[in-house]
Amino acid sequence: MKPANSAKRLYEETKLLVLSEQNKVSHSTVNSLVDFLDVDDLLVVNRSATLPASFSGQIERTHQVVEIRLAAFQGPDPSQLQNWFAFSFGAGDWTIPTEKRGLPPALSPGDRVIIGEDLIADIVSVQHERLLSIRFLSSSLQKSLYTHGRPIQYSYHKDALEIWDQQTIFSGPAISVEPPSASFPLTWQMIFRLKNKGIRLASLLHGAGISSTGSQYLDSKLPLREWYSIPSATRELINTTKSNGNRVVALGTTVLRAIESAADNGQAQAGAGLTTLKFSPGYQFKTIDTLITGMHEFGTSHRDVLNALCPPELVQVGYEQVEFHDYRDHEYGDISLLDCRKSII
Amino acid sequence: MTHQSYWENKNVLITGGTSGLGRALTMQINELGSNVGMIARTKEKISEIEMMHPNVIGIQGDVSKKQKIYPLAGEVHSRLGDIDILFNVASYLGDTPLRNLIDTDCEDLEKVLQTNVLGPFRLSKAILPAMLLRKKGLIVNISSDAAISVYPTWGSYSISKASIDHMSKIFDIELKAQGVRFLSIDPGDMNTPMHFAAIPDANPAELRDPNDSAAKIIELIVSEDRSEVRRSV
Repeated sequence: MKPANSAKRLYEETKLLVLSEQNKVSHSTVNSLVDFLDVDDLLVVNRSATLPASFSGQIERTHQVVEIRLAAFQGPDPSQLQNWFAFSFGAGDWTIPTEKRGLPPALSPGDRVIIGEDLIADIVSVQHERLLSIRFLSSSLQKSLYTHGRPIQYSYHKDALEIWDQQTIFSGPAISVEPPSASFPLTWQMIFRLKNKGIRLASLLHGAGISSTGSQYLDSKLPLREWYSIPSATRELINTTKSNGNRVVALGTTVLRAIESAADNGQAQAGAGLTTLKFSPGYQFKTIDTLITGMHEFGTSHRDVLNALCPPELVQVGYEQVEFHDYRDHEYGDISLLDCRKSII
Repeated sequence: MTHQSYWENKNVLITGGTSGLGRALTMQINELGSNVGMIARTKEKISEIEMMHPNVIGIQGDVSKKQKIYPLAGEVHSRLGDIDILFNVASYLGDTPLRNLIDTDCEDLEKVLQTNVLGPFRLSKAILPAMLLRKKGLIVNISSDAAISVYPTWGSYSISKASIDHMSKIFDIELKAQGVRFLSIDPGDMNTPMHFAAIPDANPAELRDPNDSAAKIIELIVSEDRSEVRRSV
C-alpha cells in the first residue's frame, strides 16, 4: 500500500474494504457505509481531540537536547493533564524515519526536562529503554502544552502537520497523542444519514496512544496502558443494542479497546479506567460486533486486532486485494469495515 | 422557567468577556449560577474579572487567529468541560476613523472578517461536536442593526454582521433537527468603547447600558423562543 502522505481528506470518496460474514471481501467507498449498517445498530465513536504531543527540551542535569513524545495519557481525568507515558527520541525530527533517529541522551528518574519557562517534564521513572513515565509541572499546563507542542508525525508525511489536521469531527477533550483517525473520512452529513436510517450514535473518551517508536522492541509493547471513560448513556445504549440482537460497531480501535476493557459478564460498564487490554487471534469479544478501522502495515499490533475480529486468512486475502485496488494506508488513508463475528462464532 | 433554574450548572463560554456586552454577560450569567468560561486577549483584564468573580474561568487568547482556536478549545474542554451555550461576542470594528468602502484597505476588511466571522465560525466548529453528540446546545452570535441597515463608512463591520446573521441561519437550519440551535442577536446601540471608537461624539444618554442589553439577551434565551434566528433586544 502507498502511504497517504497528505492530511487532505477525501471524505465520501475514501475507499472502504469490507470483510464480512461468509468470508466475503468487497470494495466500496465510505459514502456507502450507511448500506452496511442496519436500523438499531449502534455506532460508537471516540470524542477525544488530539494534543500537539511532541516537545523539544533540555535536560536540566546535562544540558543535552532531547525530544519527548507523549505516548499515552495516564489520567486521572481530562482536567488534569500531568501524567503521561512518553518516549525520548535522539537527534533529528519527524522528517527522519523514527528507526533512523539516533539514541537519545540517557534520562534517569528525578531528571527534569526544561521545555519552556512555563513547562517542565519531571521524569518519574524509566520503564524500558526510552519509555518514560513523566509528570508535567506548569502553572498553566493546558495552555503550555499547546504553546510548546508540535503534532506527532512521521517521515511519510509530505508536509508539517497543523493542529487542525489532527482533529476529527467528534473532537472534544484533548487527551490523545495521535488522532483516533478512523473518524477522518466521516462528515456530519454522513452521520446524519446514518441517524436518519435509524442507526444510533454514542460516544466515549479514550486517549489514543503513540503508534510507532522506531524500535521493534518498544513497538511490541504498544499499545501502552491508556485512559478511557465510558458515559452511562453510552453503556445503556450498548446494552440495549446487545439485548435487542443488534450490532455494536466500534469506530476505531480505541473504541474497541475501551468498550472491551469495560465489559463484564457480557454487559458494558460505565466509568473511567486504565486499560492494558491487547487483542490476539482467538480473543473472545464480549461486546463489540463490528469494527471500522484504518489501513495499517503488516506486523503491527493493529493486525492482531483484525485477526481477532475476522479469520486471519480472510484478513490476508483482503489485504492482498487492497494492493491491486490502490488503497492508501496510515491515518489519512482508506478504511476497512470488519463484520465477521457471526461467521467465526 | 426561572432564570436561576435555566442557568444553574450550565457550562457557558463567552468570547470578548472583558469589556462591553461580553463583560456584562459574563457577570450576569455567573451570578445566575452557570459555570462561566471567558475568552479575551488581555491577561490583565482577565485577571481583573477573575479577582472580582473567582468562579469565572479566564482563558487568554485571540479568536481571530486560526492557530489559536484548537488550543483555546482544548483549554476550554479541560478547564470547563462540554459547553452548553457559546456566546460569540468578541468583535472588531475596523480601523478608525471609519471610512467609505472605497477607501477601506483590503487588509482591514480581512481583519474584521477574521474576528467577526471566521473566529466565530472556527470556534463554533470546535465546540459543536460535543453539542451534536449530546443533541443539545445553543450558539449565540452577536449581530448589529448594521447587518440589516446600510450606513456609510460602516462597510467592513456591516458586511461582517450580515455574514454572521446568515451564518447563524444556515447553521440553525442544518442542525436544529439535531437539537443544536443558533441565535444572532442585535443588542442595540450600547455605551461601549467600540461604539465611541466608531462615533466619538455619540451622546452617552442616547445609548443603552450593556448591562441592560445583556439582561434582555438572557431573558430571550430563557424564553426558549427560537422561532426566528435573527433577533433584536
